[in-house]
Formats: sequence, C-alpha cells, structure tokens
Amino acid sequence: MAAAVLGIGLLVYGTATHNDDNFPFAPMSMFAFRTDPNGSIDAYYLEANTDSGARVKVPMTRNAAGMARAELEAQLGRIMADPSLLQSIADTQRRLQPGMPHYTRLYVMRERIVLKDGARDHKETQQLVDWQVR
Amino acid sequence: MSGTSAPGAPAGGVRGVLRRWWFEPVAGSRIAWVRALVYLFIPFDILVVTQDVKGTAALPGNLYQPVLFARLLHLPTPTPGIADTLQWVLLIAAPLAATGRFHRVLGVVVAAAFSWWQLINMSYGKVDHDHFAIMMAVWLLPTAGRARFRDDTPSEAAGWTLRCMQIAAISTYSLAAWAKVKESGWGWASGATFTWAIERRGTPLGHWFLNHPDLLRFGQWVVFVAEVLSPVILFLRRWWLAAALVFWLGFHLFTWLCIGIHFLPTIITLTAFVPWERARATVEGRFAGRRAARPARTESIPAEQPA
Repeated sequence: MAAAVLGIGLLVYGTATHNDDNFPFAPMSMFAFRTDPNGSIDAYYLEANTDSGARVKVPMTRNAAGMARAELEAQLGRIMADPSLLQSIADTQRRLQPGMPHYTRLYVMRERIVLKDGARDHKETQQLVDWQVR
Repeated sequence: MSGTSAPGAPAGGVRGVLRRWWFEPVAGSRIAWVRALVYLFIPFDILVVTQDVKGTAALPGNLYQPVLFARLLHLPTPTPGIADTLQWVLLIAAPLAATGRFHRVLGVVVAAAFSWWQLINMSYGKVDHDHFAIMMAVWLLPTAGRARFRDDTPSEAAGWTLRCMQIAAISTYSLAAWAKVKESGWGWASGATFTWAIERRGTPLGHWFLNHPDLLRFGQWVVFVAEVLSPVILFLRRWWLAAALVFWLGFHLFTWLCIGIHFLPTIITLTAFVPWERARATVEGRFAGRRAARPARTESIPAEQPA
C-alpha cells in the first residue's frame, strides 16, 4: 500500500507543480489550455528550398524530419533564438531520407487562424526565421 | 511484497476500509489475461503507435531535451542503435512475458526497456499523457505473482495490482480535469479548444464539426464533467461499470475519428476493470453446453442432466 500511496503522491505532485519534466508523473495537460473563441489558433511548421530547386512544406513527422510539429513548437523558443538548430533537422532529413531532395534553406513558418465566435474567420501566414543549410 | 500479506482480522476505521478495498482478492486468472493483453500490446505500440521514436533518435543531441527521469538515470543521448536495440529487446521479451513464464524477470526487462523507450519518446519537448497508465502497468504487473489463465484462486496480490492499474487509468481522466482547471481556470469548457484541435489536426469528419461551434462547446462540457466524475468508476460494478467503460471507449473512438488521437495505450489498461474469469466461464459454458448437447441425442437425457 505504501508503494501505491507513493505513486499517487508523485502523480498528484506532478499535476500540482504542473511540470512536464516529471514524466511519467507529469500533469495530464494535453488540450488543457483554453482557446479564446475570439482569439487565434497558431500552427508552426517548416518550409524548405530543396536542391531540386523547389520550395516545399517539410513533412512534420519524426520519420521525415526527426521532429513532429508539436516538438518544433515546444522548442520554438530555442530555435528562434538560435536558428542554427535547424541545421540538425536538415542533417537528420538527409540521414532519414537519403533518396529524397535535400534541404538547402529552411524557413520557420506560422499559420494563424483567427477565430470569431468559435469559428474560423480568416487565415494569416507569416515567415519567422530562416537558416541557410551548410 | 506488500500484496501478499494477509489482512488478518478485519481492521476498523478508514484504514481498514481502504485496505480491504485496495487488497480485495480477485481471481488470479484476471492477471493472466490482463498481462497477456498489455504485453501483446507492447509490440504494437513500438511498431505502430510510437514507431517514430526511431526518427527522433536520429536527431543530433542538441535537440534532445531529456525529462527528469532520463537525467536522473543518466540515460545516454538516444541514437538509432539504442532505439533499434530497445525495439528488439521488447519484440522478444514482451511476447514471452505474455505467456506468464518467468513473469518477474521478463516483466522487469519489459518494464525497463519500455520505460526507456517512452522516456526517449517524451524527451524532445512534447510530453503526452496517453502512455502514463501503461507505464505504470508494466511496473505493476511483475508484482502480481504467478497467474494462470484457468486458475481462478482469489489473490490479494492480483487485487492490489489490478486496483493500482485501475487508479492509474482513471487518474489519466480525473487529473486531466484538474490540469484544465489549473491551466485555464473554470472557463476551459466554454473556450474553443476542440476547435483548436480540429483546425490543427482534424480529419474530414472533424472538419464537419468546425461549422458547429456550439456542438463542440457542448462536447467540451461533456468531456470535462466526465473527467471530473471519473473516480466514481473505481466504485461501480457490473452494468454501471460496463456503461462507464463503454462511454470512455466511445470517447476515444470519437477523438480518433475526429483528430486522429486514440489513446490505445490507456484503453488497454482499462482491461484491468474486466472480470475476465467470468467472460471465460461464459464462453466455456457455451462450448460445454454444445459438447453436452451433441451426445445427448444418442444417450439417455436424464443422465446428462443431473438434478
């Protein structure tokens, strides 16, 4: 019983301190944030120039780029402060997809859906930072 | 192990009630069934649900953001070699553990390798809570002792393990409600979080709901109230329990159809609520009935039907 109480204690502590770092005793915080019905919904993603000359949307999956969109967003602050981290994503794409066109320049993009009364009003797309792949 | 100690004379007070509830003996065969289901789910998890851990392991170390347990255990920066090794260990050990043989050794191997895999999974900035209950389950199951599919002897160790698994699964829901209140205040359900989820990752069915924001807000209230009430499930029995489990299965099916999030790892731990020995008895009863019915045509009926 002591073991069970300890487990529950850790779990409650994780939620009370609201810290994902305590995983598995982390807060159950998926979708726990509130979205203002008259606010906006942001989604970040990457675009890239490739060595075949096209500008493409980078598939935001771990199997393609090593990172899913949620992880790009979780580390966005670091990437904005130091865009050279994007080099790691370009290198990983080369390793994971050797037969595909490789990235020569990466762009961090933001798609913002502006809401009105809980429904989509309009969409804005913005380029935030970019990185010349070495 | 704490689960095997005899309760002795019934203790009084809150402690006694809690103890009887937590160690309520259940048929040992339940552990055998739940163990098989959890351990057979693990290959599916690492080959399908979290297969992409191998993609993250290919990232250079500067994007690795180890969570606390990964740092405390000094786990090395993930590499494709580490991911491949963990996957092979689990692909071999988990099906063997599902048989119930060497349950302790194999159970600990599976628990350690699966935890490592999940710590990698959560160490690139995003932490999901769909794997909490199954991570608890893999550490709990080795404590349940021996269990056979056809041995219904009541066991306190089995009762403790299953109760803890149930609490872990239900915590996924109840603490989600708490996290919502903590992060967003009581106004979460009146917001547009479902719209947010569907706009970002909606399926064609999900996108249909975007034109019905009132329906989505109603859905948020239903989910929030259900999460707040979820601890009640721990005390429900029979049809009420079945109805509550069907509700949550329906919820997960619906989120999967609308936004592609299924929570299968949590669903598999809900099997700790199912009285498997009764399901087996029912099935066996049917088969026995059929077997008995066939010779009954040629033999004398009274001999087949003792009073």
